[in-house]
Amino acid sequence: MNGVGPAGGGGVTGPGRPLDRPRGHLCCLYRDEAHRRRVTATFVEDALGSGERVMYVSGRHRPAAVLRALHEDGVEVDPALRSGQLVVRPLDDLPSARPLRVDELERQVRESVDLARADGFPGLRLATEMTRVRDALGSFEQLLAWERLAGELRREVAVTTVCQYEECLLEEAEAVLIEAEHTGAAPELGVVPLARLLAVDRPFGLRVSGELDLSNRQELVRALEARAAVNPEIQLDLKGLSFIDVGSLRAIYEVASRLPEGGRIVLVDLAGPVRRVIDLAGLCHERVEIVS
Amino acid sequence: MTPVASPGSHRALIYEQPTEYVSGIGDFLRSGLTNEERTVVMADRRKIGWLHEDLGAAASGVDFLDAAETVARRGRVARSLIERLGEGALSGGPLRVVTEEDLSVRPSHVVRDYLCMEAAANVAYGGLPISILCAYDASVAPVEVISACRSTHPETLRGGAVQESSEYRPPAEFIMASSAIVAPPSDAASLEIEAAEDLARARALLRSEAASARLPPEDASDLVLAADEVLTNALVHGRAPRALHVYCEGDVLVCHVRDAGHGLDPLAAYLPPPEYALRGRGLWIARQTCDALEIASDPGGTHVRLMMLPARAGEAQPAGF
Repeated sequence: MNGVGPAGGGGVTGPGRPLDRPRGHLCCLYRDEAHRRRVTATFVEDALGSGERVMYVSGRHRPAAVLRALHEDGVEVDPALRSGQLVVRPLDDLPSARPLRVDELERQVRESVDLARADGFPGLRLATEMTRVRDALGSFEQLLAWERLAGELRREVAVTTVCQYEECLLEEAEAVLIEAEHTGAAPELGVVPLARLLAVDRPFGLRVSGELDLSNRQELVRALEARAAVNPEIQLDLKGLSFIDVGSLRAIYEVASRLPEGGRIVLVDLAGPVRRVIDLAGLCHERVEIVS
Repeated sequence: MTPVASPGSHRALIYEQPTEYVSGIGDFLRSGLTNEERTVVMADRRKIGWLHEDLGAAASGVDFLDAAETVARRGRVARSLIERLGEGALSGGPLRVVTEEDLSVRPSHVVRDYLCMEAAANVAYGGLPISILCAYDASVAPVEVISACRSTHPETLRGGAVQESSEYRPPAEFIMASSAIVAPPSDAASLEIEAAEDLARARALLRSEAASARLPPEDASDLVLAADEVLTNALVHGRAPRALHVYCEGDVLVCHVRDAGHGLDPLAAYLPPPEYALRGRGLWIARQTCDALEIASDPGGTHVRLMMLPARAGEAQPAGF
């Protein structure tokens, strides 16, 4: 572009590009524990930014240790745990005879996706420690068969996955085959999503913090619609929201206007800038209530 | 009782002496009151006093607005006027409006914005039963302002007589000709906007530039909102390459958004979007939150400039109109 100078405002940081964000059927061949933790924290943060449920299937690490690590890495785990947006469970929970069958794993994933939707989440993110899965499946061939099926499942039911492998436990040839079954490597940039869309159970709804604009408007709409599908009376807590554009505000009103009889969206705890946009945009709808 | 403004007029009263002002405005208001029309006057306190004296008891039927207070609300007055007058005209019968701002003390960005708004008023109120009389004090106003007022009003009023203005120009033509869009200075803080993910970066850049320019927090937050809306428009409707430039012109903070698209109507900077419009709402937000706004095109594409004045000591914060 002519006339555009160098990017000004040195040191200005923003949210990551789409490529920096975990999407697809990703793998993480982790070199060390720090690497695995960065990938996990990035993955969980991004899930909370999208309003989706994130399930961590642990292997060697106990669930309590996983949660402690997430907390230490700056992820606010407690509210997400309370509403079931974050679930950590050991692979041993799977009620299955050994060796574990690939179709049993598939059934588990499908059920988890259905359950996520039934609980009011727009989708499921799945992080799995794979070393124990490999052991449970009994062979590398079965593991590869599972990874191939997981790739297909990902496309079919729109689940985002990170399969975590301890790099030192894989032969070089195995690592190549595993990587080939994935759409890419899981990011570990610590990219914080622009907003956090946190499911809340009582009162039922969504708590949004951060900023809402064109880049995450669709995620907001998906999260609201998923909540509304369970209970059309939603409380939208905007206390931590520091910026909203008119389009995103209008999107909230549009979701409200599509709610069934008796449905409504109650906006609570509006910060000054959000109030200002509501005033300026002059929006109003019988199914949107504003409570200060 | 002359002149009687017919419904739907937009005239300029160019005066030099207080007596010319009082008789011109007084007659205009009296004929409105006689016709039981609603009358609104925006003037400074001194002139409101003159009109009270001239109208006597009839002054109680006039809605007076203190210009100092209104001007303190800066660019936001535009929205209020257009919306209130538009709604008022539709619901409350014919309306008469007198306006005047002391442009001699305003920065050039705001003067240009005001004059373009005058041109756009011909479109905004065209066909509505609203009679607007805009007062211009030729003893203090710069020659260019008086000349522009003849170009933006189809008729002028002098010595009680209505004259067709031979210098009147179609609003879009006037607005395009008065565009002051230039290439951003080389030291502007700039950012290429390629995707929606860049909006947060743009807001961060603006926040830091607004803080350097010592914009009050509310104004900074308004500018950030306005810029985000204009950039979102450029992303959704415009064409790459798109860029944001932030710089100061004198003590005015300018946020300049460019994209390679064409076809953004320069009048859109001054008029509310139609009820059903899919685009243009963002611009209307920007119009309400900035001190001045302009749109122009050149062979390189579309330019939108949002302008914020520095805070003035003791300035009242905007409130409802």
